[in-house]
Amino acid sequence: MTQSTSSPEAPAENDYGTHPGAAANRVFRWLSTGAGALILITLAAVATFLLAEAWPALAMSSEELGETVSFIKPEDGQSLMEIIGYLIFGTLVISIIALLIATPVAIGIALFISHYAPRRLAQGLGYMIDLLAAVPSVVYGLWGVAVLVPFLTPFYQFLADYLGFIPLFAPPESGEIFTGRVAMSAGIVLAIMILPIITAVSREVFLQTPTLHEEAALAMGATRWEMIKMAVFPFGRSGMIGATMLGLGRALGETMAVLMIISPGLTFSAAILQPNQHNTIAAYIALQFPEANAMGVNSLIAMGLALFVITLLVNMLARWVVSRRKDFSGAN
Amino acid sequence: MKIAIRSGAVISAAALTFALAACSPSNEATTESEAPEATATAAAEGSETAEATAELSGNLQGAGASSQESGMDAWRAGFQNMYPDVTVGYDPVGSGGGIEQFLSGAVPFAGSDGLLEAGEYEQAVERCDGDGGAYHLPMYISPVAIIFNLEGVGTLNLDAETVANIFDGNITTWNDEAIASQNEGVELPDTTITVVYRSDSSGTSENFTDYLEQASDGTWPYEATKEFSTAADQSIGADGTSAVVDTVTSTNGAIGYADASRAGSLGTVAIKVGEEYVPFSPEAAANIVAASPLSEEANGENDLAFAIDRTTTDSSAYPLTLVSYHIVCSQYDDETERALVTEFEKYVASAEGQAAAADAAGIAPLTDELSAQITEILDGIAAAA
Amino acid sequence: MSKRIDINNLNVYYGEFLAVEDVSLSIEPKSITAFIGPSGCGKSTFLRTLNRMHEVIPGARVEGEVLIDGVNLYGDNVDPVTVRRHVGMVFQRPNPFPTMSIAENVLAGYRLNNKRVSKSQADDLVEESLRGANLWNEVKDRLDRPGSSLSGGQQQRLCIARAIAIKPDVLLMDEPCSALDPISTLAIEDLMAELKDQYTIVIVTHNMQQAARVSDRTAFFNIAGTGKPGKLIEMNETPVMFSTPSEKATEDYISGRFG
Repeated sequence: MTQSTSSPEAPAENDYGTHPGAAANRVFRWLSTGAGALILITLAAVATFLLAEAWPALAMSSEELGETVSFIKPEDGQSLMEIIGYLIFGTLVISIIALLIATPVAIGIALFISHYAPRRLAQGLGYMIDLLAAVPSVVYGLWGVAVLVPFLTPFYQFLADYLGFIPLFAPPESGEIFTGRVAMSAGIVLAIMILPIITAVSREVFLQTPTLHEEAALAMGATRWEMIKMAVFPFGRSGMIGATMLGLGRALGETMAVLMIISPGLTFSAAILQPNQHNTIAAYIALQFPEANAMGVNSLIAMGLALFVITLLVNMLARWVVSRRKDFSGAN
Repeated sequence: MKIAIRSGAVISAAALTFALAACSPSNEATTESEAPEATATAAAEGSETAEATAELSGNLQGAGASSQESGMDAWRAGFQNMYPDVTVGYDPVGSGGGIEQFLSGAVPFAGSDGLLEAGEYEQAVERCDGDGGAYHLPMYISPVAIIFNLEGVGTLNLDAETVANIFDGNITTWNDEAIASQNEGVELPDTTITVVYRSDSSGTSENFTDYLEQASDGTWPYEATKEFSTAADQSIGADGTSAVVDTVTSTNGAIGYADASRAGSLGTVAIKVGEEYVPFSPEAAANIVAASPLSEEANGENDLAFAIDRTTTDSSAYPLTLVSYHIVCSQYDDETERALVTEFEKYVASAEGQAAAADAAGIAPLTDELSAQITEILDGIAAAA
Repeated sequence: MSKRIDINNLNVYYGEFLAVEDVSLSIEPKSITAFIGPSGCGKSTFLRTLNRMHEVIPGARVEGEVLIDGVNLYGDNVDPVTVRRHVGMVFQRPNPFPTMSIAENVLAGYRLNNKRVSKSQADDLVEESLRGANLWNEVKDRLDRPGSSLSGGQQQRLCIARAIAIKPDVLLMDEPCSALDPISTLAIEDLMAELKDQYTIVIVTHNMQQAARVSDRTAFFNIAGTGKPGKLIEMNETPVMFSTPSEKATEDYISGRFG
């Protein structure tokens, strides 16, 4: 009891004082607190930068801005705010197409891997899906333009011929789908790009479904699919929403693939099979940035700010959805 | 792909260092005290065989128009071959970004598809040493081809009004009377015309729309702008020259415009100049510059900022031509910087430099007169301290 | 509703590994049968073969037959999903579905068979099942609260209510009280005594007092060593097993000299 390691001068020496792990514990606490603070600081710095850089464009009168910046034409209904409006619309349209396609497919793949496939096949498939995430977006863009767009065009023509009365599938005036460089194609390529992240996260969540709950369902005579509906989906609900939001985040910000595929335009049109109707914020910035003058760059950053805000809103919405039924989350 | 490189490349002024190394030991002894930052080791070692060509060393950095990128690669290689101790860099951030970096003093010269605006001229006076401001040097002259994909048709004659009507969607089929009347004997199908344009902001679009605005006698309803716009229902926007060419190539009945060097096997348009139809050619492109007056806003006669005369009736000239400039200061107080900029630009303007870029990027070499004029201006800059 | 189970020469394998060897026994209807034995002796595995739940683990298979009122569970044309709708199961740890309310938990199994359930039908079934599980009075005012808001013992009774809501022929209980405190355990044991009037109940337990208290017949399983298969040592009326077992191993285990 006398081998206490504390120094002899210490006023209250006893056996219950310091222990060897104390310092490491303290260091780790500071490190993790620091990491947490760092992300907040980074976010604040980005927001500040965007605001400061966007301000000159936001503060300038519309006419003046139109004279200074070549792509802003208030007289043609393309003031900075109007362009931002069109772009937010286009960004959402394309991202939603991507999500609507990617989410069910990704969840299907994730379920197959987690609950249906034999283990060896599941591993291989999981690896392949992860590999999709490693493909640079430029490659997706090139592939989209060279392979996918020509492949899809006849299919679009079919849609336009038979479902063209729905505004969503309305063809161009001539009735002919003369190009596949449309919002739908961009959305499909984005869907493929966000597939891996949604699949990977969903798969992890599904694999963590407590065996207890799965067995509870199976034991009362649920089929595999009924068990998934009863135990896996409810348990994985917030995880799936999280995965989808991660995918949406990537879709919202994706530049290259959209840039290379879509024939862009600025409208509030619902026609996703018509070219020259939609563009995304990120792709628009990339199109205009190289030749933009100083005020043009400020205007583009104002659009970047809009993207930042949208992404923030989407994430807040997702959190709200997740937390709404917290009692039932199964987290306890 | 280009975008990623452009936006990723951020140049810091701190990275620019210039050093003039002494050319021989004896020289070194006499001028050493004045020589700024003699990073002499490399030059001194080779002193025995050192020739006049080895007297330059340092790092020259430019930024600007991406249209000049492949030409700039050729010039960099050629110049570094002449001066092994010199490093030349060019950041293809775009004309706007290049001008911005030039005006802020981050780079000693900029590449630009367009001319400085009045306010930028004023800023250039502040930025440059002395009161002379900045000069435009037309280094990169490149014809823009109107390309089309129509089976069995290699070339078409069109006047500017017809081109304007096609690109704005007023003429929608290839066998339209307006086209047929100018091309007797050519069998034109009733294929629908698909207009392909640059969806990104580009100097090519600006030159093309400037041509349409000036030459089409009011048929083209828009102003010259870097952002192409059209009322054509059947139109496709593509990002960058390659995408435009690819789209035209893959779309039957498509028409577009692109740097002439990229026209490849596509059909091209001979545009009507005066009474004749002129196909693009390097000579005709160089001639339009020689035949054009200087811009009214030009900074004196040494500032070769041309107001390209798209309405010329001189049928030895091809008015649909992109002129891209190097923007330099009229005076550099830093001896190293001055030597590097003037020597480099003299090489660019030389027959040798122009030939290198013609091989690499398909530009139209400067006429001898213009080349001589530029060299003279550069000599003037070199002399001014 | 209560049915008799006859097991003939049952071997259970996990892949190539023989987990339970050559078990033959009979389980009487309207009675409680307890399986006891040391950890790893295969009693839980064996229990799971009675509703084919062992098949959840890839590679698991059996040889032999399990007859419920003469129908072989492993015969042709038998779907394990249907088997489980007739043979209910309660697990070691309470496992109500956390995302469902108390009432929804009770109805979960019933809904599998009946896609449309009227409101009044559902209410009646919830009350009947919860009363059957001795839980009604404790939860009747908060049926829309999540099942996970209950105490451990209440959750386990909710799971029993869920199991009996589909009116099974047999109720299997795999150490149903091992995660519960003594008072909750007592409540479950009382419940079992009531349920045996209607159901054939099979319970696996580590608690020999529990086996002695609740069961009518007891089967003792044992294992010769690690890697060896579990075997049925003997089975008899519970009072006989706990007073005069015929096997030495049983006596050793029951008297605490073993395991």
